Amino acid sequence: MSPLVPDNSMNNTKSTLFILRSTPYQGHRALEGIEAVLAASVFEQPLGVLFIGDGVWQLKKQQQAEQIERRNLAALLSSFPLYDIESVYVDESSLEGKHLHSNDLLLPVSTLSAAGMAELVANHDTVLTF
Amino acid sequence: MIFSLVINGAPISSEAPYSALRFAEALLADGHSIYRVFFHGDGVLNATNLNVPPQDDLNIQERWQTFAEQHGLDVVVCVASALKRGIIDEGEASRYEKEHHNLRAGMALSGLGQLIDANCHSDRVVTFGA
Repeated sequence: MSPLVPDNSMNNTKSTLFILRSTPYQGHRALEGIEAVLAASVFEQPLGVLFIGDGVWQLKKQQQAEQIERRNLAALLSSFPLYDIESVYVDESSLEGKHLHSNDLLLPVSTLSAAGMAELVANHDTVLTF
Repeated sequence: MIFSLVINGAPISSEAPYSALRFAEALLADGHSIYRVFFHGDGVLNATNLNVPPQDDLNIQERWQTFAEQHGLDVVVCVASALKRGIIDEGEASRYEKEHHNLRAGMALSGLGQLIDANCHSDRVVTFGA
C-alpha cells in the first residue's frame, strides 16, 4: 500500500472537483465531504469545490450546530482560505430556489449558471460527489 | 485502463456495494486493473466481519473480502469514517481499549490520503453510492 504522506509518486497530480450536495446535518455526508476536500488540499492537489442543491445550506451563516450536539460545519468551511482553497463555486439556481443570497453565505463564492457548471466539470480530471 | 473505486453506500440499506462488486468483476474480466478500492462514509460498514445474514441471502461483506483476496486488491477503509461507525482493527482496539475488533482480513484502515493517492494513480475513479 502507498504511504500516508505525499511523496514523489504524487507528481502526476490531477485536478479534482468536489461537488457538495448534501444537507449540512442530515447524517455525516456533508462533514465527510468537507473532510475529503481538506485532505486533498493538504496533499496540494489542484481542486475546486462546487455547492449545489441542498449542499448550499452548508454555507449558510449563523449555524448553531451545538444546539443539536454536532460539530459546526461552518467552522470547518471557514478554514478553507487557510488551506488555500479558493476555487469555491455555488450553483446560482440552487441559491435562488432557497431564497438565499451570496451575503447569506459564510465564504466568498463565485456563482455559476448551468453552463458555467458544465464547463467547471469539464475542466477537472476527476469529480467526487458528497 | 487503471481504475479505482470509491464505495460510499452501506450494505443492506444500499445497493452500492453490490453494484461496485459487479462492476469490479466486469473490469477485471475485461482486462482492466484496479489500483485501489476505497470504502468511505457509510461504505465502511462493508468491512465488518460480524455480520450474519440469513443463509439464503447475499453476504456482501464476505463477497467483497473474497473477491479482494482472490485478486490481491488493495482495499482501504477510511479510518475516520470507520472509527465513529464501530469498525476497528486490532491496533485501534488496543489504542482505544476496546475488547473486540471487527475489520475483515485483507482490508486496511487508513486515511483520506489514500483516496487522493488513488486519484493520482488511476485513469478513472468511479463512485458508488450517492
